[in-house]
Amino acid sequence: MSTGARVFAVQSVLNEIKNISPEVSNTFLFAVNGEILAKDDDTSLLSAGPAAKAFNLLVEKTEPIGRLESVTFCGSHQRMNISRMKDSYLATIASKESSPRRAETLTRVLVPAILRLVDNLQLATEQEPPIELNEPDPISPNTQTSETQEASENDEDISTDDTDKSESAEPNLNVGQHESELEYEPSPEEPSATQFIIEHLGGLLIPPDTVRIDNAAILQWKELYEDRELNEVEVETLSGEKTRCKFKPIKDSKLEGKGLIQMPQKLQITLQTSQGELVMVKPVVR
Amino acid sequence: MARKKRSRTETVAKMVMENEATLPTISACLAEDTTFKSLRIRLAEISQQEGVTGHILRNGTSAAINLKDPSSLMGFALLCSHAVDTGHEFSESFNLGQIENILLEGKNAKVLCIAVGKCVVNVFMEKTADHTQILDRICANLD
Repeated sequence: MSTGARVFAVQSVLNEIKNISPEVSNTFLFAVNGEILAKDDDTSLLSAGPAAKAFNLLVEKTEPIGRLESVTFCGSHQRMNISRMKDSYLATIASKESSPRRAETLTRVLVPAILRLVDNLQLATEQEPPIELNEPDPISPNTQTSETQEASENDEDISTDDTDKSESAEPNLNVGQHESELEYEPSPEEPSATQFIIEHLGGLLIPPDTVRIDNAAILQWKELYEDRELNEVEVETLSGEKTRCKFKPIKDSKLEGKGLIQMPQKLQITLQTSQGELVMVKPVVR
Repeated sequence: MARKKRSRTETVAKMVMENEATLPTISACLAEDTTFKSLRIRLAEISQQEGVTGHILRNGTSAAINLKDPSSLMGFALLCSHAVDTGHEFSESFNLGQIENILLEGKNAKVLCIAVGKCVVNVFMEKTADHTQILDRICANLD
C-alpha cells in the first residue's frame, strides 16, 4: 500500500470520527517533526501546521514527566486533546459538553486500530516481491506481478497466459500459488486480541499477578484452542506497554458481558495504566 | 473506645502539618488575596493525598511552591509555563475559548494546570492519581 493510500485511509477515518460524533469539530494527525500526515476536511493546514510545531516545542519540555503520552486543553468553548500514537500524534477538538470518554475511545481505539491495519497491509505488500525473486522463471517480475493482481479478477487472462506459455507448466503453478498467498487466512497459532476496559481489583486476598476477565471471552478462547493449555494472557496497553499474567473469570455476575478486565494495582503500575483505560488482551497459547 | 480514636486522628493531623512546614515553601503573597489564600489551603490538603507529588501556585505577584523533589522545580515550572503558552496559541487557532485547565500525561507522571481567576495552579502527581477529583476539589465553590 502506498503512502498516498495510507493517508487516504487515515483521512477517511478522521472524517468518519466526525460523522459518528458531531461534537468533534477538527481532527488531524501529525508526525513528531510537526509534519501533518492527515487531517479531516474541515481542518485547514494553516491552523494545524503551526499547532503541530507549537506542540513539538512543548514536547521538548516534558522531560520531568517522562515521554509525553497525551495533553488535554480545556477551553471555555471547546476541548482539545492530543494523544501519542506510536510515532505520531492525533489531535482532536471537540465541544466542551462532549463526553471525553467517548472521544477518547474513538481516538485511542479506532485510529490506532486503523493505523495498525494499514501498516500491516503495507508490510504484507512489501513482503510479496522477495517471494517472487526466490523462484526464478523466464517471465519478468513485472509481468508476473500484474498477472497476480489480475488473476482473481479475470480468469480469461490466465487461460490466455497458459496457452502462451504452454512449454512449461511452472508459470501456471506460480499463479495458483500467489492466489493462495493473497487470500488471508487467520492462523490458529496467532490468537486474536480482545479489548477490555480496566476496572480496579482490590482486596486482601487478591493475587497481584492475576486478572479477572469476562467469562464469555474465556469460553470463546477455550472453544478456539480446545486442546491447548491456556493459563496466561498477554495484556497490552494502547501505549504499547505489555505484560503476561494469569487470569480467572470475573466473579461478579453483574459485571459480565460489559467488556471489563479487573486488574490489581500492581499490574496497573507495571502497565502504567489505570481504571477506565483500554487494554488489548490475548491468550498465551501453549 | 471512641475517645481514643479521636485522639489518634488529632495526632496524625498535627504530624502532617509539621511535615508540611519542613517542605520548601517560598511565599510572598499579598495579604488580602483571598482566592490565593483559599487555594493555598486547598493545595495543602491535596498535597497530603496519595499520588500527589507537589504543586506550584502563583498569581501576578506571589508564588507558593511545594515539591517533594525540589530539584525538579525548574523543569516543572518551565513545562507548566510552556503548556499555558501553547494553550493560548491553540485557543486562538481553534477557537477553544479561555483555557480553563490543561492536563499533561507523561510516561511517569502527570501535571494538571488550572486557571482560577488571576491565579494559576499546577499540581504534579503520579500517573495513577485521580486528577478529576483534584480538579473538582480545587475548583469547588471558588469566587
